[in-house]
Amino acid sequence: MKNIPSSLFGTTGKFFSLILGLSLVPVLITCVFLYYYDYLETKNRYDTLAKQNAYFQAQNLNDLLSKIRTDLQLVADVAETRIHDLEFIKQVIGGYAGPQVTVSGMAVVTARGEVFTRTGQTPTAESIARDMELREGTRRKESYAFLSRVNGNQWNMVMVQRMVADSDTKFLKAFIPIENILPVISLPGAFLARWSALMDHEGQVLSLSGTWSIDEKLYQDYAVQSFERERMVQAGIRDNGQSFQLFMIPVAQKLMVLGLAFDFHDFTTNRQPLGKAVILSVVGWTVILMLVSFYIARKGSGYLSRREVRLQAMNEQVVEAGKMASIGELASGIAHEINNPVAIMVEEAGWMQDLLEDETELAGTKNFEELSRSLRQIRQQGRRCKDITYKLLSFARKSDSRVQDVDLNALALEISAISEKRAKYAGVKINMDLDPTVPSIQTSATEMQQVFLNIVNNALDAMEKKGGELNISSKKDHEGIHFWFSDTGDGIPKANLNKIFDPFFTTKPVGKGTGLGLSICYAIIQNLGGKIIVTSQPGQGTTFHIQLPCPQKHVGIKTESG
Amino acid sequence: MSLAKVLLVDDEVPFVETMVKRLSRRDFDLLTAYSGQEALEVMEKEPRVDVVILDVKMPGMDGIETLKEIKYRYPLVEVIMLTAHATVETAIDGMKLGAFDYLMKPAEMDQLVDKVKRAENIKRHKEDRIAEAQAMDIYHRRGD
Repeated sequence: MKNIPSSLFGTTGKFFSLILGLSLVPVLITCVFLYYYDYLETKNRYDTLAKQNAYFQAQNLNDLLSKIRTDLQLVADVAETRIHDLEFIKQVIGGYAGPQVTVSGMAVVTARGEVFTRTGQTPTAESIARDMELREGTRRKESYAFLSRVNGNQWNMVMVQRMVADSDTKFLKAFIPIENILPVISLPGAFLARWSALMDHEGQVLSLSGTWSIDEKLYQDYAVQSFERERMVQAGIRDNGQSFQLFMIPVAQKLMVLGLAFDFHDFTTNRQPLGKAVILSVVGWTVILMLVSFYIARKGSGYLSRREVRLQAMNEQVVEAGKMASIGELASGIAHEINNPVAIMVEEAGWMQDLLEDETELAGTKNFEELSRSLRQIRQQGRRCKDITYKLLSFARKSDSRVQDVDLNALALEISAISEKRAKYAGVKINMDLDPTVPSIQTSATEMQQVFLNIVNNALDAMEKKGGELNISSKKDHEGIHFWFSDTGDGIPKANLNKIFDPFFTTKPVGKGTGLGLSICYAIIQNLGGKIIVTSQPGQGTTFHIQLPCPQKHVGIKTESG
Repeated sequence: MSLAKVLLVDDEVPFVETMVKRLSRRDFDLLTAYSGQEALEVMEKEPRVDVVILDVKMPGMDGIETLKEIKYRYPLVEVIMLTAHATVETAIDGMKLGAFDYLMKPAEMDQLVDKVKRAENIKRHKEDRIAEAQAMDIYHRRGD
């Protein structure tokens, strides 16, 4: 036995955790949704920002290089004026300090590749003469730039400016180590790339700032692609569980590629989208639940009040039933107490009548007749008392409670046959419309007879003066068995309608009705689990609607009589 | 033929007194008792009672118990139950236990008389049959 509460508790616990779990489901779904939404939003913003940043950096770099070019153009122009004054030229080119970027050295080279003069860290005359590229430039009219390894394999960007003085063509060459360029580009604002690199047309790294975290092979292809297409190439790359946004942008007039990689993780570190999603969904659902429970509480209170009304009606019925029961008890008591003295009175009157028969000399006199009449009257009224108490008794209990199969249709026909004579005198036509599917029910035949007879008698009483029609019909449906007794009599005044089932309520003249008939009917039908509904239109007629529950599946015929 | 011997049992004294007078007038030999116990005592003294008119509700030993006892001791005696209140079921029970009939109080004298007479006839009939059977029995024994 001890197991039962614990298992019950276990079930309750399971039940509550199930409810709790189920109630968390929407919160979780919202959480996931919000998290995903935040992720998408962040990703979108990250992409845009990274792209902007990449463009900005490339723009920066191009701007810087064109500035240097403009500067060099100016230097070349100035040097050109006194091209033969070697000292002057040396001063001019030596005095140039590049904007932001340090120019490591400059040289003036003749069209034949000979070094005219040089300053700073520049390749030696010999190495310039040896290097075809460094000597290159004679055929070109405009200024240009190229990449070259000079001064101990260091990558330099060489910017070339053409100088034309007299008939002599010379070239100003500025050497900018690539290493110097990258750190200069920076972005004012949002964030920096995880790494940025300058690459040549083959994707080879010339200079790198920041730290690699991806495979070299991955970006080499993009760099070549970008260089060949002369436009930016963008790619999302995952490496080591990290998401990178990679940008390859050709810069410096098809000379180099600027590569940038932005880390999504860097961008989202401080956002804590999960926490935000959890807080948002919990708060959101709390608000929703509060609103819903507020709504339900309002609705529920309406439902409760309706329920209360129903309960009250039920209570009234119970009280009614209790009233009936106590009246029944009282009636049975009265019947018992009254019947014995009445019996004695009737017997005494009978005895007096017996004795009177012996008084032969009085026979025929006026007093004799009067005495006889008086005694007859006593006995007759005694019988009436008996009738009343008999009815009281059948109200309190059943006169014959033997339960048997009762064919209600047959009973109705029987009752109409019994009442036919009375109906004829009252000028009432009885119409029958019975549903043959109405089943037999297990009840007391006498009781049902009493119910039908009572209602029919009342109907006939109502139509006694003017005549009319009494329609008796039956029907069986899913609600049960129905019988309708509709008359075309005077109807029942509204004020009396809810009193007609009360015991001792009668509108008939004194001595005609006991006021018990309908209350007995009511009690009988109620005992069978049915109900009587009365509808009445004063002046038009009354309908008694008896509703009885359908019998359960046939249990077989009960034989009570021994 | 001698008068039918009727025992009237009821705790209502005036009722019994009047009924005795009325039934005596209708040629019955009346005995009275005012309780079940007294009825049995009377029958002890006077075994030749034909019909008992028995009230159902009495203080002490009630009608049903009295009926059982009478039917046990004197199976041939016929009993008519008389009831004044809602014990019709009791009366029916009584009939199952062997009562001849039952009547509601106040009863019609003619009805009562009729029932008593029929009860008496049945008792006589039964007695005759028994006598006959006994006679046959004796006859057969003689024949052995």
